[in-house]
Amino acid sequence: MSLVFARFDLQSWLPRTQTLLPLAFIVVIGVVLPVPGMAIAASAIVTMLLVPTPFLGDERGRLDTLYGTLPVSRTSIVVGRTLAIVALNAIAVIVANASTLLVALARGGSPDPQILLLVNAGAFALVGLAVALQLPVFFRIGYSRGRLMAYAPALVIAGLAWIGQETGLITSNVAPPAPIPVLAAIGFAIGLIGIIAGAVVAARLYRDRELR
Amino acid sequence: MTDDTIRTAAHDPVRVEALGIQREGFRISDVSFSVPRGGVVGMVGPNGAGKTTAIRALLGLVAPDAGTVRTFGCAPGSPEALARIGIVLDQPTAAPEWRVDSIGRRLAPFYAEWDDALLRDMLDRLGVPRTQRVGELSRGQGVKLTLAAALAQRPELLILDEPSSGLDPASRRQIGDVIRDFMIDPDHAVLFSTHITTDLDALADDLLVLVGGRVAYRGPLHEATETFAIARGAGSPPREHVLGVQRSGAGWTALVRMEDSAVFDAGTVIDTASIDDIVIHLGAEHQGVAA
Repeated sequence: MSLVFARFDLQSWLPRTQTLLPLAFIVVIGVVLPVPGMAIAASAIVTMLLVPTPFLGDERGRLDTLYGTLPVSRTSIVVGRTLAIVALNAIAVIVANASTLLVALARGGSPDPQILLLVNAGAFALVGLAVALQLPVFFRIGYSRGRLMAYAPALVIAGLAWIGQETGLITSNVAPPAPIPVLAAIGFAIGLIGIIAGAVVAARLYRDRELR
Repeated sequence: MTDDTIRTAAHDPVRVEALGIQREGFRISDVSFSVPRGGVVGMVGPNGAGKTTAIRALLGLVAPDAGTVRTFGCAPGSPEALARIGIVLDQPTAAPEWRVDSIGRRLAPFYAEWDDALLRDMLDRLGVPRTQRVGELSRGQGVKLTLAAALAQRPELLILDEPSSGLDPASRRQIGDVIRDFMIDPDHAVLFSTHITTDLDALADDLLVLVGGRVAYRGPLHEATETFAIARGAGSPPREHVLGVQRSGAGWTALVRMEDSAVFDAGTVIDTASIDDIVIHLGAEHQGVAA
């Protein structure tokens, strides 16, 4: 039933202008900014910004109450929405990588595959972080009461970047601390763990939520 | 209790025993009732009596603090139970931008028995424009859409929360006709709440009166008007044998038990009580107690 709900969920909010415009924004970034990987970074930012969107739609359409009356477990709803967000991220990543490659080809170059791998892994880690922070809050208290959480991933990332700079971990002059495939694996692992942890915590919190 | 009655009770679509829910500024206490197969139970009561909360507890949307709630023998809100219940809440639970003719495509995958042809037939019968968006529908059309979608699930139990509130008489009659058609199947059951007591006369077999979060009356509808009477008099109302009093000008009306009607003096007129009389006077008594 999680897949059924994921499909239902995507049908509800993916075709909206407010979802499709940010996806177009990724292409614009890929074209306008010549640095390879910027569109991929933009895909992560777009996904992070769009995580609250379905919860906003739930409140506007009283869909929370509908979910409570569907013959589906609350866990299936959480897993289904997580899958829908992952699907949105997959679309954003495909758009980002395609525009990166096409722009590079149009300019007569080819981006470094290792850089692309690393940027994709970093972007996925950010998405995992956003899901881990936002899903539990939105599932527990809804969009209206939890909307400040929409900014939480950006604040956490900015905080981590500042700490990295202050401690010398982030500089442009040093070699990577580990081989790029290892760093990429760590990035993908962080993303995956974030998504799973977010869904598990959200399922526990949503199970006891009263839907009025 | 015979084996047959035990089996019948076990299969009641709804069984509620000693339900208790306490939230800030609101309480339901010791509410018990059941909805048998083939039965239509109408729930009435003043605003804030607990009707919607009791219905939401049946659906698992609100967690009880005390008592037992079972729908088809399952815990409320379990997918097994919800698959057998068609639900019509006081507002359509659909996104405003959804087109009416997309509802079937969206909801069908969740229900094994979904009948898309029935949905289309019901929408046409009830006059819900299929090409419009949900947000463009009137309140009445929204209720009819929700009812049509609930019936397309092929449920065994219909639960309706104030389905006729704010609707014109023609729409109320349409909804009543649909519910009567649903009840042609003897295995079906209906629980509905309403403010409009004429709906009860038209539909309900059993009456559940909730006042102040408690059951004020539970039993066959026809017995309610035989159980209670209205006493009318002038001056000060009596203090004993009175279930609820309303004052009007120099006079008063009181809800009394029919069996107590003989104890009033000759100056007191005893009339048959309507369902409205019962609800209004029991509600007035609750407010008096609360004050």
